[in-house]
Amino acid sequence: MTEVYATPAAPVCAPSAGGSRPILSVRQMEKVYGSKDSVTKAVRDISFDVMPGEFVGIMGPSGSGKTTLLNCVATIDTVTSGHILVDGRDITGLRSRALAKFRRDDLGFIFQDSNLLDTLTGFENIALALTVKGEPTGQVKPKVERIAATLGVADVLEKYPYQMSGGQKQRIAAARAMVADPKLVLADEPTGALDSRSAAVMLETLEMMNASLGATIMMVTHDSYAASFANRILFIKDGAVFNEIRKGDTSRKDFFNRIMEVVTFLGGDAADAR
Amino acid sequence: MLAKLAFRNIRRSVKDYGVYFVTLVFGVAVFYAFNSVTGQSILFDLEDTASASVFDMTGQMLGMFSVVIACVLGFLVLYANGFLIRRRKQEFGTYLMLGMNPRGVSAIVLLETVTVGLVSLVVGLVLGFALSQGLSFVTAGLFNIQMTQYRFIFSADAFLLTLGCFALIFVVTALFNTLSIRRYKLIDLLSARSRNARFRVRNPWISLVGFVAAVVVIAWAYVTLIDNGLLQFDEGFWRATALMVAGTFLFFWSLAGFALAVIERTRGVYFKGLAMFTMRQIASKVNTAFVSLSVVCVMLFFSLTVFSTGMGLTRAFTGDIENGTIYDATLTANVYLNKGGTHDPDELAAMDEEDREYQAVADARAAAVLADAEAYDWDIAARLAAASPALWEQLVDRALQLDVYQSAEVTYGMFMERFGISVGNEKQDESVAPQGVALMGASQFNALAELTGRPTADVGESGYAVNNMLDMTASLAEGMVREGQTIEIAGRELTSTGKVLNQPLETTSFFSGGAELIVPDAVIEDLRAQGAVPDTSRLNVMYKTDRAEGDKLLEQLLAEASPASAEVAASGWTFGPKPWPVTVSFTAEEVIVQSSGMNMMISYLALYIGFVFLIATAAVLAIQQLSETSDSLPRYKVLAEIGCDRRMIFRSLRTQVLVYFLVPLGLAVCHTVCAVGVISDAVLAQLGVSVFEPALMTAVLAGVVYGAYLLVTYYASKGIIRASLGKKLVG
Repeated sequence: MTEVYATPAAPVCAPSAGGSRPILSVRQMEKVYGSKDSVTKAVRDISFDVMPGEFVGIMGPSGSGKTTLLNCVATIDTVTSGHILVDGRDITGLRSRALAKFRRDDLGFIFQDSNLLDTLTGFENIALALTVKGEPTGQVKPKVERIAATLGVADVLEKYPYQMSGGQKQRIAAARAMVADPKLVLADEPTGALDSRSAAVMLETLEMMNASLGATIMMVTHDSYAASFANRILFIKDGAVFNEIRKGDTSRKDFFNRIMEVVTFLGGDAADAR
Repeated sequence: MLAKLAFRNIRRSVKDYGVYFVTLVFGVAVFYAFNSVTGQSILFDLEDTASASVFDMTGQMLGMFSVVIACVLGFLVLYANGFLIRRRKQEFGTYLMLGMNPRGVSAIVLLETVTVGLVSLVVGLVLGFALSQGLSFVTAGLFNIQMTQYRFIFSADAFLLTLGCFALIFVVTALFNTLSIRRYKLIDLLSARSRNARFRVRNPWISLVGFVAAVVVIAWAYVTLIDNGLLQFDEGFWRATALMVAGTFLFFWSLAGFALAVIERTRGVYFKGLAMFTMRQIASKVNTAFVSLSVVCVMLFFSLTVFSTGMGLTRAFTGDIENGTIYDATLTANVYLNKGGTHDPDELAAMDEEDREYQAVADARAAAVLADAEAYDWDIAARLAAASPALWEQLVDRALQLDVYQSAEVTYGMFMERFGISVGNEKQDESVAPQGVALMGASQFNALAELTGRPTADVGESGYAVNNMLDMTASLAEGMVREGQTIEIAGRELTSTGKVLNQPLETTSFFSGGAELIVPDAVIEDLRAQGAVPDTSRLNVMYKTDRAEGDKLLEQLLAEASPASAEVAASGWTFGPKPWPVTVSFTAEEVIVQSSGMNMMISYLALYIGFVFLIATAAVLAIQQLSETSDSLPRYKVLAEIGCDRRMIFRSLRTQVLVYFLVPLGLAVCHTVCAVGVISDAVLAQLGVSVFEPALMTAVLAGVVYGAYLLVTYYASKGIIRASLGKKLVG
């Protein structure tokens, strides 16, 4: 039985192994929607760090602000106040051209609906992440083939998205996110649209990306089973960090149970847990 | 409630409807303006019937082509409408899901169609009124008439015609819409979008074969067309047309697959930035829309060809008007028509009684004409003066006759062969070569030259010179007078004086003769002594009065000299044409009216057809491209998310729009260059018109109209993307 407690405004910059710099630091981030009359605070005050090589899960019930948080980190949305630092650089003040460059150089995305381009083959979808970065043309093919082999999608490279299964699409999306060697991979409900078998394969893929390829991953999910693949979970409720648990050396099953306890406490989507 | 929905839909889809609406307005405006041309004649108080009939003829021609134009615009409306309806399947599905009955949905669409139709009809007609006022100034300019007082013209005929045509188009469209909506099944409507995601990719090898075949077929079409020379609408012409259409179709069918296969293999290009994405976007669009692209290409070809040829022809009509109106009038006696019946005894014996009688009558007539001519020693002026001395005295200041004989010994072919000169293509050479060389006496020729203040020809006792007014025969004329050339005519040897003159010999819109020999009078006398009669005699007349009054007097004079037979009089003529003294009369005034009338008719037709076809095709492309952009919004969003900035996205969009507009135009231009090149050889060059200026005008028209549609499409697409993705992503 893990003790469940609320942590007000998480302590900033937990010192971690090797004393290296966090890859992502979110500082007193606030996001307000709406006009003067009706203000909705989607994110009240969130601060946390993600260290290189971490696999962080963000959990919380619907409307807790977890997707807003992800969108702000992804620079698809802007913060109202506060700062987001990626590898020491504040991205909240960047102009749109610089933001685009930041997204293609430093970030990788995996979305719930895979967001592959339907007119392009699997190969081309992955390659696009390289070509928009200006990768030397000779490097494109070998890099795409290497990552596809690693993620087990080498056999669907010549297929179009509509010819692939949901799981294959998500793994192509993962390959697209990984191929340009980003500093941070952002995953938004990557298993949300998958059946349980495909979901398990996808999660193992993410785990492998984190463990063997050294990818730093931040994954938003409301699925406790999916969350149990991460090594640290941030729970968000009503726009603020409510709790944080680490996997440490425990087994995934134990970690899953601890997650479930928090989720139950939060009164969240326990029914979704498997 | 339904009306509210319909109006809101229109307002909301203004971006989709915009281009279509503007095109419709242009269509209506142009349709009205050109159909009101006949009404403009009241502006100029055209008294003489020649000018009025030119207006009538122009009006009739424009009316005739208006049927074609109405069909094109009708198809544009049907296509655009069907296209927009298909894109809204999901919306209709939602209405049905919410419990609206199909009749309600049809009513909404009907209301929308009627509203758009009514508004565009009203706006178009207003614009059309304005345009027709402007057009009357152009007409005045073409006829060289000063508009002393401006009058607002409203053509009720054109108004009703426009109203009727477009009402019919919208009724048909409304029926079509209603039927197609009734046919839809709910499940299809709701899943319309996701099914659209599937697109066709053709096998690259089949595409390659298809593309090569397309190029071969198009080349074959060009060769067939060049062979045919566009001189007649025979089998060759239709084969060339069929091949061109088939080749165009095959071209667009295979283009995307072929281009994709080629570019995929050039890694340097394919792996650069968004090249892959852009390529695939274009390819998927071209693959699904290859039919409409082919139609667009063929229509563009038609538009460009009609416009450039038309403009070339107007140039021909106005080109040599100064030389053609140097005399006040020319009376021509085409004596060569005076052959009488057949004189072959065998043939006569084989004929039945009725035909033989007819031959006898023809012979008698020919003999009478010949006797008449001999009585006046072939002097037309004397014959006319004798017919009505008072009129002749009142009308004629100077009258100079020119008799042209045809040599029985020397043909043009001899010179062509001797110097390897061609007057055009093979067929033209074949028709010119056997003709006997035209001969004129030096004194008659020089009298004309003196009258008009132009250089005379000094041929002495045994020299010859050449007169030429035709570009087609210019090189032949040069060849005929080469240094030291000698020819033998009527037993005399003549030596070239090396001179080519350019003396107009008649009043005409088009000079028909070229490379006529000017020979010493003695040669002509010898020919006469040998029994030769003139092939053609022309009497060039200078009036004492002004041209308008002179033309009336001339008509009276001709009526006196050669009264019309009952048959001829019935068709409104007062004078009966004969091989001698007068077969045809043509006055300078008539030439001017005819050429400005032809100029007006052809340039209006060319503009009308060229413009409407151009906007119709450009509108189809614009609508397709705009809806493609809307459909592709999720893709642009993904691109922005994976880090493409504004510049990369808009560059890709620009490439897509450019390729989509310029590829059909490019192929159409190839077709046009071939067709206009052939037409130029066959017709325009004969008329002494260079294709350069018409080509330039076509380029300007196409550049402005097509370019405007291209730009609007690009900026509207950009706006759609920017509005959807927001400032953050593509700011």
